[in-house]
Amino acid sequence: MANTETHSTLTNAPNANAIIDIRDLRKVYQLGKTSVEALRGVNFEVSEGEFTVVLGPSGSGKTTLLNIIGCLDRATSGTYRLDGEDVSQRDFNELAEVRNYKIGFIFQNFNLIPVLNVLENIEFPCLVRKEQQNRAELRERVRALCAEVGLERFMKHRPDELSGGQRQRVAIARALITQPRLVLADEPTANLDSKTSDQILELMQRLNRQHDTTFLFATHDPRVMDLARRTVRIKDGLVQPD
Amino acid sequence: MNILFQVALRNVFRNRRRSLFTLSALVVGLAVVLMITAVANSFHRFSVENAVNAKLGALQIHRSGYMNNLSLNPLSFKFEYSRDLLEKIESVRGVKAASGRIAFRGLVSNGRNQALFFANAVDVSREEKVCPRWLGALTLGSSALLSTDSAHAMVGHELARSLSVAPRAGVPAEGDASFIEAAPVEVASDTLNLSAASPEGRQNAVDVQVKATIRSLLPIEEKRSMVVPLSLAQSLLGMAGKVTEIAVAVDELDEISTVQRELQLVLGSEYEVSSWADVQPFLRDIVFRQRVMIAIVSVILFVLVLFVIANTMTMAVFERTREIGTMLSVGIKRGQIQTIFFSEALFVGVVGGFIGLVLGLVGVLITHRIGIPFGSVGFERGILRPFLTLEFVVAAFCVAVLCSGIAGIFPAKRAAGMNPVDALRSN
Ligand SMILES: Nc1ncnc2c1ncn2[C@@H]1O[C@H](COP(=O)(O)OP(=O)(O)OP(=O)(O)O)[C@@H](O)[C@H]1O
Ligand SMILES: [Mg+2]
Repeated sequence: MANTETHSTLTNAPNANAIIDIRDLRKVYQLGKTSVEALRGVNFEVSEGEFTVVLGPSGSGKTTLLNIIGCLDRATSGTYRLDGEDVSQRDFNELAEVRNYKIGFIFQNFNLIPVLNVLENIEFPCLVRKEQQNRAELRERVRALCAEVGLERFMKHRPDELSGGQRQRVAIARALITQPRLVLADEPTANLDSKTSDQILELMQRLNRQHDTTFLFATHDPRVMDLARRTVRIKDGLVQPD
Repeated sequence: MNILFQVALRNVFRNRRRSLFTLSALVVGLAVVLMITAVANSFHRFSVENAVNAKLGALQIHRSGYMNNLSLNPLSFKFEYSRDLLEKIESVRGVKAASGRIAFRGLVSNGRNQALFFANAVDVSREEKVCPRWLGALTLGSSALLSTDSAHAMVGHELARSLSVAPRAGVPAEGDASFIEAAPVEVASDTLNLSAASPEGRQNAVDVQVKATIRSLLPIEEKRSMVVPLSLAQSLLGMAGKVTEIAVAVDELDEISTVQRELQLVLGSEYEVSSWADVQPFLRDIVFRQRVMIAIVSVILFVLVLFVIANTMTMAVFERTREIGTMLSVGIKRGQIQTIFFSEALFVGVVGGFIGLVLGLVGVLITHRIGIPFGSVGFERGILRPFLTLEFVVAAFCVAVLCSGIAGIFPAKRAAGMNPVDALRSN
């Protein structure tokens, strides 16, 4: 206990237990002559296995934050350590590799590849890797995941033959197939009705527990708060104190 | 199959209408290039064969220096027309036949008027083997020169008219000539007097009987030209046993340069061997210019096709921006995105190229079978038979595929250069 106390007081020392460790993160969008400061010095940590909800109104900077955490974007200033490593100096293809091996994404509008069926969409992140995959073993894992998210009867379907909830299940399975360190979900239920939303939320929580994967979940819906073990409130690009 | 190629292939089929459009641009482009080239080929072959078979012979042999001194005294380049020489020439591989000639000029008179003429004296017994169509187009009532003729001539139609001579009617037509009607001539007689100078400058004259009048598309030939037996020229010019030229027919016109080289080697530096192209440079230039024109048209067509493909591919890239963002989010590399779009363009290129190839070849085959009637009746009577060389077909196909590849590079680079966040935000 004494050890953790020291850590929180020494703000410059990295936290070894944290999967996400963000210090004084800023993001400025340049729009012609005007600039928008979407993040204004965010400090924030997420420990392994946590299910964290980032809650904030529209335009508060949730997507901006998640994009940086997901290595899709770079911060203007500040440090970000993913799994203990500073990724801010990595080049494009190195970041792609980080995304592929360490991060799973779940989006508001599902973002499946239309020409691939459910099976292929799920295995896609593994198939674009440099090293040769054991296809049979991969297929087995995909099937198991399909069963876990309740898609075993739809494996050969194309995305346009699925309902919104089913599509989001495919996206969840795709996010988990690489056994990532971190799953980022940016308003994954915003396009779903409340019943389907509840099912998806419940599924994500179950997977969080079973796979021991860290989940970071951004939403503007305060109802989701009840499900989270931990909530981080964000407003105008700043994390609000609890 | 690699997942990237699967994505590419399925996208080609997903947007069927657009793919079909790009495909047909390529198909039509390639097929048209093949067709016009084939027709042009047949036209060139026709023109060259026509010139070679009617007048020139594929190759001509002269004493060295003849070609460079045509304006001086060509007769001074005479040489022995011996059986030995003919056998030597005909023993060269690829040579079909050889025949001696004398080209000379002089004055022709009917007793009252006279005119300049250019005569070609031919070895009648051999000429047909070298120039199967040497008789050309004769007027009705004419008859062909025979190997037994010695004081006879075939005279340009206009020349005959200006001198009021015509072949005596009623002589049956012979030989492989076409006979066409001509305006009636006010006939005084069928006899003309030819006078010419020997190589040494001594004047001589001889009477000839007009056996035929020649029609031609070239006015100069109708007005000035004349064909006489070799023996007549030899005695008129005091050149017994001599000729100034030996025309040579070859088995394959396409291999003419090999035969030319071989002949030159066999005959040595005393003689010079010229091809139809050396003798008739303007014909070679016409052929060359037309080839350049067709090359330009082909390039324009391929560039158009390239733009069509590049344009539709760019549209596809913009439409699939969010898909690109999605793939980037799961960790695909820039090069892999390029691979997807590039292989889409290349796939269209290979398929379109193949269909275009088949269509073009079928078109060429059909027109080759049927033939395109060409030429004025009676003169260059003939049928064009479009054809292609294998080298050209392969090259055209490769260029078509290459074009679509090049067309794919820019859109593929654009797709690969996208920023993941912006790509994901787009709709
Ligand atoms: N690419 C961009 N260019 C310019 N400004 C941007 C860009 N992306 C976001 N912003 C701005 O940054 C701020 C934060 O945006 P962000 O998308 O992170 O908010 P959010 O919390 O995800 O909102 P929502 O709940 O509506 O998704 C907003 O003011 C937005 O206008
Ligand atoms: Mg957002």
